[in-house]
Amino acid sequence: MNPAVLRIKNLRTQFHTDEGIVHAVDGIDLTVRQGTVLGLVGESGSGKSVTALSVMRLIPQPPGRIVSGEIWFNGTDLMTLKETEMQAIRGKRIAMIFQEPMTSLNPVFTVGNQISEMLRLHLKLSRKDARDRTIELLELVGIPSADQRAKEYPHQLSGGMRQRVMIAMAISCDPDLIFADEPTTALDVTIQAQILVLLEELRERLGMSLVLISHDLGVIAEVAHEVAIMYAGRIVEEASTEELFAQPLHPYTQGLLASLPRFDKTGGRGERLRAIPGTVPKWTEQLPGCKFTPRCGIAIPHCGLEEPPLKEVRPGHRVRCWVAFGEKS
Amino acid sequence: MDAGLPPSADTITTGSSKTALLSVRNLKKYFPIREGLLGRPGLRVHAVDDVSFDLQRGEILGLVGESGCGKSTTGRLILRLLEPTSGEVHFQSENIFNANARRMRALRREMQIIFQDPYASLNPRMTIGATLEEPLIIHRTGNRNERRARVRQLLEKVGLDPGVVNRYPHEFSGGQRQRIGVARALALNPKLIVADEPVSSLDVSIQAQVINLLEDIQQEYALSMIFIAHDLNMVRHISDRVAVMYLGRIVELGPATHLYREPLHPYTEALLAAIPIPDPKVKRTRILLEGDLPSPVNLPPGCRFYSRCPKRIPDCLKEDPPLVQIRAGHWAACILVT
Repeated sequence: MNPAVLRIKNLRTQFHTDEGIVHAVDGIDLTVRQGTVLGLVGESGSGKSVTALSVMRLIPQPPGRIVSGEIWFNGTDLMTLKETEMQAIRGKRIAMIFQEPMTSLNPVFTVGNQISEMLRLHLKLSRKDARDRTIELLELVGIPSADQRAKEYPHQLSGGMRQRVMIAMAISCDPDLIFADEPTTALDVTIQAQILVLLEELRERLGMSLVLISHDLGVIAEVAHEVAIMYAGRIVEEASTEELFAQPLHPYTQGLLASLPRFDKTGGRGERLRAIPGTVPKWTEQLPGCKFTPRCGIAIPHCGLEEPPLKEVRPGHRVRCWVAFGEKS
Repeated sequence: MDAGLPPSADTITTGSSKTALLSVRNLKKYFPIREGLLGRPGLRVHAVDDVSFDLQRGEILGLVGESGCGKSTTGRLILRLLEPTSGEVHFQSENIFNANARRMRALRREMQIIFQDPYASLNPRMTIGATLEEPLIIHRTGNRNERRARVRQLLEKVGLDPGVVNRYPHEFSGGQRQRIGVARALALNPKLIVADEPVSSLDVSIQAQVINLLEDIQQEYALSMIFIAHDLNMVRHISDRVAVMYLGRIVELGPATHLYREPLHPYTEALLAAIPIPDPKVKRTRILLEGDLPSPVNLPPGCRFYSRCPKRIPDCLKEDPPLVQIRAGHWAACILVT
């Protein structure tokens, strides 16, 4: 097994709001192995983006606060670093790609300018070297006539091209780890396919590790090696991609997979979708027991009383569910 | 056949166009654009460029395509929320673009829309009760008590507690708000609903709930529906027939089962191949399309898909291929299959 590039231990991140404390990330453990893709799946409010921002130490404080946890990255606990030390890691050793490239690119600078600036800041390249390297990077991410495109502003590029620019920025300093937060969600399906192939090629070529955050189980199935499913700030299931899709054990994972219409299977008109009833618990709500109990079709009395731990029930397959542990009442 | 219809009227239909609830003929919408202060008159975005189809009573037609293909503009033209550049939309054999304001108001009772964003399409300052009662007041339906009773009935119909009438939109989740959007669309007993990306802003676990609701009400009221979406899995699930749009044109139209099993147009093929399947054991051949959508302002000559088509041949540049029936009820606009 590849060595771990990132190991998160008992991470808790909270936000203080007028309505109370939001336990956005509530005690998660995660390991990302070198050269692999970890898929982090969850719906809005499940804590997947806050997990990434916590690792990057980008949680706005206040209202947010990392309450506890260790974030081991290549032998250093990022939690113990000063902000100045963190700046040497952020963008250089760990990079991030966001969902909407338009909001993460500066509209008043050319895209070439923005990449060059990163290179000059982190790698101390000269103006000319940075410019040359920028063109190389844009070519690497498949942008045609890169020298011309480098002189354009973000609004002059299509959504797919902008996301390629974001990827070029992310890989510019040859990072060990990239967090990609819904990198293709804003893109059309044919462009999504292009970007997913590009990410995969680059990851293999540059030997990076990737944490792919997505709500789309299809994207996860295609790209990820390991998958962690999040619900209400917790990891509820974790396994290799093959194992998880072949044998989902948590009723939430099972429900998600069952609720998706599949064009490649029969289905179609007249067949009902198996929806998960109810809604995600409100962030400030602190239920006793398992957070999925109110929506769960197989809950037993124990579920509402005590929260199950995340436990390995098959080799490499961990789940947080009393029923999956074999409890009957 | 109705006198007002152009000669092509009986072409794009499964049944006869006489029985169709809705007939769209040669619909075009060009948006003028201006560049800079001086402007360059004559430049226009070809948002919808000669679209024709029929919708039968009780049928759900899926309209799919990527952003900018003209599917939402088509939906808005059908409800006359936009005026067309040219073309006709016949609703129960009446060309809605000839209707005066008064007649249009009467027609609007019969044709409703459900929007994508349940956050933006509900007035935040109106209670749910007032939101649902408003269309009833505008169309002078019933007295106060009857209207209130109708509102409660609608809420029950979409699976919400009728006790929520005095609450405001912000007190509801996205899925619940979309249920309210469905209730509002149903208020006047319409015959046609245009659902424009009704679930794409909702969480995965909630999407199925709203889709099931749409199917239930469609069945119960024998509604006709145009389901506009970019999620091809969802469109396959809910539609009887599917129209695939590319740059303002329908490039393929057919029964959902056939179109997904045996796509005829290379664009449909590529779209289907690009859908990620939530099963790592399914290995497929990817068809990667080159580049981006060309600009709908300067349309290339010949087939609109030429610049990205993996199967293109020089002949494709000769003319923009018309939609031709290849198999029963299955149409495609590609010279390679005709």
